[in-house]
Amino acid sequence: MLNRFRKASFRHFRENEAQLHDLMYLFWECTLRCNLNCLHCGSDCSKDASVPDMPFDDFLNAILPLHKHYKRDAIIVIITGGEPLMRKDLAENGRRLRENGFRWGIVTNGILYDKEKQNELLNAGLGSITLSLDGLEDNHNWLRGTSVAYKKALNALELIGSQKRLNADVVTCVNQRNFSELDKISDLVHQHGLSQRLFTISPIGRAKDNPELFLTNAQMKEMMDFIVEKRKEGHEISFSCEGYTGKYEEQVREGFFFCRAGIHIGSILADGSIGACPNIDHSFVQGNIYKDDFADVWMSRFQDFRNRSWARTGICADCKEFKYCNGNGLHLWDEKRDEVLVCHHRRISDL
Amino acid sequence: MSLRWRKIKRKVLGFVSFSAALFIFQACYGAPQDTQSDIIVQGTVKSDSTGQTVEGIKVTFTETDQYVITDSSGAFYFYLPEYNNYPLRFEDNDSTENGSFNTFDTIIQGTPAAPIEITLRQTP
Repeated sequence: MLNRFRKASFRHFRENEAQLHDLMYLFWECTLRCNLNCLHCGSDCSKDASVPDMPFDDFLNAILPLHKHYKRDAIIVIITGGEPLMRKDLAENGRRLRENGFRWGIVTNGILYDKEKQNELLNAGLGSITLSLDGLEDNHNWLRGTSVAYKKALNALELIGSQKRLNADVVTCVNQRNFSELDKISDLVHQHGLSQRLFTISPIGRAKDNPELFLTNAQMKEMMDFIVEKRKEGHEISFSCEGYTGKYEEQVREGFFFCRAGIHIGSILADGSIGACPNIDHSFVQGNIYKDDFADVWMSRFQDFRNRSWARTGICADCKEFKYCNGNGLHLWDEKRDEVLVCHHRRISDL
Repeated sequence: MSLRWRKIKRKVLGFVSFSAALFIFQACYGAPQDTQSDIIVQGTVKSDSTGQTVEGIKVTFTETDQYVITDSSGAFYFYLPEYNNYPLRFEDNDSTENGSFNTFDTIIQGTPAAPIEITLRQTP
């Protein structure tokens, strides 16, 4: 009874948040250049990206007008890529974000993250970081496409774990190869004092044609049980925000599932496109900073993000869980918008 | 419904749904929100013998070993985690290139509100 009341309250809360749509979390895809060739990459990254890096001033000028609507220190800019450390001006850009009132963080594969780089970024006011670690040595290197990725990531893990200033965590993309070593990866992350988020790999980007990257339904359920058990042991481990997990909600992460794309989360992509999470299909793009005012776009567009009734289609049309999941994560919809690509709840509960 | 009422509704619904994570979240693959406090420590380093600013001095916050090097105008600037006091070490980092200076340790009590000025003793 209490749980039903809480779930109902959360639904109203979520609807209210969609109306308020306070921007709290802003991705900046600062480059499409990358120093790895990951098998599961959801971006269009390449070592010689045809899209040039966005000049920092273009990004800053686009977001400065947000002060008309929000306190800037209520917004964190998450710099992503590609690999953001490919940009030599990253620390300088971060310092200027802080000077202008924004907090900032990065997502990195750790290849270029060493002691000197960490020092430089901290000096510039870095406050948050996410590191990718997708397995023990062989499997991390397999997914990342190079024999040195694991050693570099481990070095970054040690450095990040030693810095209490950083709000940090580790992201692990669970797949067929690393599934059996989840326990060891989790212990490794825990030993370094960091929290961990587990993702499954979505059938988008480079991943969609590689069956080794996807879990079976049984493995998906086993992973949920694993997270529940590890959390009981005191590990700070959670399932990502990628999808609704039905009976596992609140057991595998803090709070209920809430895809905040376009509600609390916005993005400016490398070509100037205005969207939400960078892995959401390009058909959801709402404008471009080189043509539109970012703040105006955020305040007046994004209707499909804030009212998800259009997602009541395909397997979602008659689903009783829709009122809780709202069509699952928005990155799981393509331009046709006729069927969600993955239903986590169905995958887990059909067993 | 007005904006004001929606904000009141936010507080009420947030409370009754007992969710600890309403505004602490991470987007897909994104980094955590930054919930910690830090401060800027900045200043200038000068020579006691010439009164000129000194480039190439390593300024270390000894609690965490975070450091910064003074620039061509002897200035330094870094964000540090919030502490009660700030023990700083000033070391000559470039041999004799910009003159030679003795290492100097000091503790800044409380939060430095203004840029600090440090004078280092130049060695012959």
